[in-house]
Amino acid sequence: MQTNKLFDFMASCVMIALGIYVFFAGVAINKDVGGIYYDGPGFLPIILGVALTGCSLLLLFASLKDGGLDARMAEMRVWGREKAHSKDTAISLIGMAIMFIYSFVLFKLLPFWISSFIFLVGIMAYLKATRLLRGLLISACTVAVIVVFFQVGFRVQLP
Amino acid sequence: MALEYMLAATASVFQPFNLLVLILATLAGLIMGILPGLSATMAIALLTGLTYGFPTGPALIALIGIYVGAISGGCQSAILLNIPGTPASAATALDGFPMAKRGEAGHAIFLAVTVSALGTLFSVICVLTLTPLLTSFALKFTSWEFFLLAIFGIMICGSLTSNGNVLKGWISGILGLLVAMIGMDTVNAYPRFSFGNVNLMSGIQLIPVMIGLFGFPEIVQSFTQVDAKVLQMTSFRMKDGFRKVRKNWFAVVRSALIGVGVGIIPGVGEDVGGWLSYWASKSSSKDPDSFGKGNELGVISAETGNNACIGGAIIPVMSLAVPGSAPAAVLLAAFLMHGYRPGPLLMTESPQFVYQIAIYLVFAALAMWFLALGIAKFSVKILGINKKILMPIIYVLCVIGAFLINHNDFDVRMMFIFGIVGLLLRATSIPSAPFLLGVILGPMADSNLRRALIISNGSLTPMLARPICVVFLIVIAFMIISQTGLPRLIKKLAGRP
Repeated sequence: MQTNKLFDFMASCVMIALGIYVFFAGVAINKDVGGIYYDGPGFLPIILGVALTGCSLLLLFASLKDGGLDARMAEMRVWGREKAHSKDTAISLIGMAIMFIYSFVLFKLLPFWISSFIFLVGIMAYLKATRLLRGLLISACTVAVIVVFFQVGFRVQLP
Repeated sequence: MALEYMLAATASVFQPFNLLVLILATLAGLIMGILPGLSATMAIALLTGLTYGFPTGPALIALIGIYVGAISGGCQSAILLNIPGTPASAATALDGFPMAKRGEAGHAIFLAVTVSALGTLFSVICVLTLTPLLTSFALKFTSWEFFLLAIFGIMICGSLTSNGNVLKGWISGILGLLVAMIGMDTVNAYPRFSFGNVNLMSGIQLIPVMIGLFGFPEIVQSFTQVDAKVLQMTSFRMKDGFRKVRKNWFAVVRSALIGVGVGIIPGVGEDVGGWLSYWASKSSSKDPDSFGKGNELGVISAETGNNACIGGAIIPVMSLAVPGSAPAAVLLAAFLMHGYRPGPLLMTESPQFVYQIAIYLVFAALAMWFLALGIAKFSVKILGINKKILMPIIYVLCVIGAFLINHNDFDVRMMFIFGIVGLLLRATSIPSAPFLLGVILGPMADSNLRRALIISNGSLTPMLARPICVVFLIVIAFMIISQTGLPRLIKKLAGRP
């Protein structure tokens, strides 16, 4: 399987869609503002949209060499199946989900020291980084050091 | 006047608190450099956020200290583990690891650390001489030149960091420019790509983008990494090491010059400096076959080259406000955050700044030398730290770093989102450095292009009448033509009946 070509193919498809969106968004911005075209805030986005689409098209054509679209689609199916059954993918995704919960939910709702303690204990336990008791101790020490360093030492207000 | 500034900067370094900051930051940089997966860019990005509330002097000392420490620290894991602690030390591993396998780990580390310090010190001379020159040259720049400089910087960075596929580097740069377009534009105050979100209207902060792009992928990657076997540290004799450095003085000077030259090129990092210096020594050697098998000249060249890049990369930051490497891009953001305005007017507005940075670099290099040799005995222990414990702690620091900029949860969420972007870029082998450069140079490109077009009533003729612009245009056109294979296509088409 030509993973590089497959990734180039997938990336270029996304970039082409993004480039087209940016181009039309730039046109809409300039239309909204009115006045001279090159003075409008949408002028550079229009240029960037064209450049992104152009570069991505070249990348797409290069990625379709050796087998064409059919080969890439077949590779994508194989790659998708492989990734779906990969243990590493599952570990990374769950790890990221824990990071997401910490960054988007816990950090906003709870005081810093509680949210960080929960996050550290949770992720170390999930990754089986160390024994639970040691994990609890490391997490508590880490949070204490950070709070003392920033809040007490440098008077930086943590949430 | 210059001497006065340098003496004042030296005196400030010797203030007890600043000295402590210098030692701690350099030590932190060394440890982050030693640990594979924690890059210099990540270290500076993290510290930029964390030092936001610091007074300017200690903050600058901390940033310079961690920069020098992180670039130099990478050599220890390259030698003991065959895995460079930072990409900058990739070339060092080629000869350093075979030396360690021969039982010369201590000698290799001593050589690497000593020439690292020498490389940084050499680059300081270039910072002091070239920055004022380049700054006075940049005073001739108008809006057209600044716009083309931004485009040139992103394109050359894209070309040199793309690992063979230049389109990916350019796509990365364009994506960065697009991120810079988010928020109120500088001319009409029109909220672009904000979707009615008040936070987006004020634009995306640079620090969360940097921490996300460079820190997040390393953290996620560590979840599934297996730790490699570390070789044991051996003792070394300083006298032998100094003799070897003296014997290879020409290679040291050549590598330092290459390093500074590479550093000045926008966006091209310390890794390229190390590789090019290594290549220059190998190709000029009478025994090129010995390289890769434990030739100490390989270690000397690579480490001098990558550390000389530090000063080289800072030169365009201060004179043109265009970063010479990814860590320097973060440093530029830090300078801006602390109220300095690098660029052509720097020598007029804050003339002491260049001398301050040069002196901080000198002391950081000296501190690095002592500390790196001091902790060399413990490198094996540092390398043995469990990444699955360390990386979650680093993530907590990333979150604080992103939060402290505005004391806003939104920046933490942005850091996470750009972390996912960084992960996707890495998966598709798209370099992150041009992306970051695009985010930094985007506002400069946008405002200068529009200002220039307004002044010229939409005409491109004034641009073509300016010699510096013509040079930029020729180089940009040459890059597009040579890198996209257009000559081959034309040849192919011409060959057809």
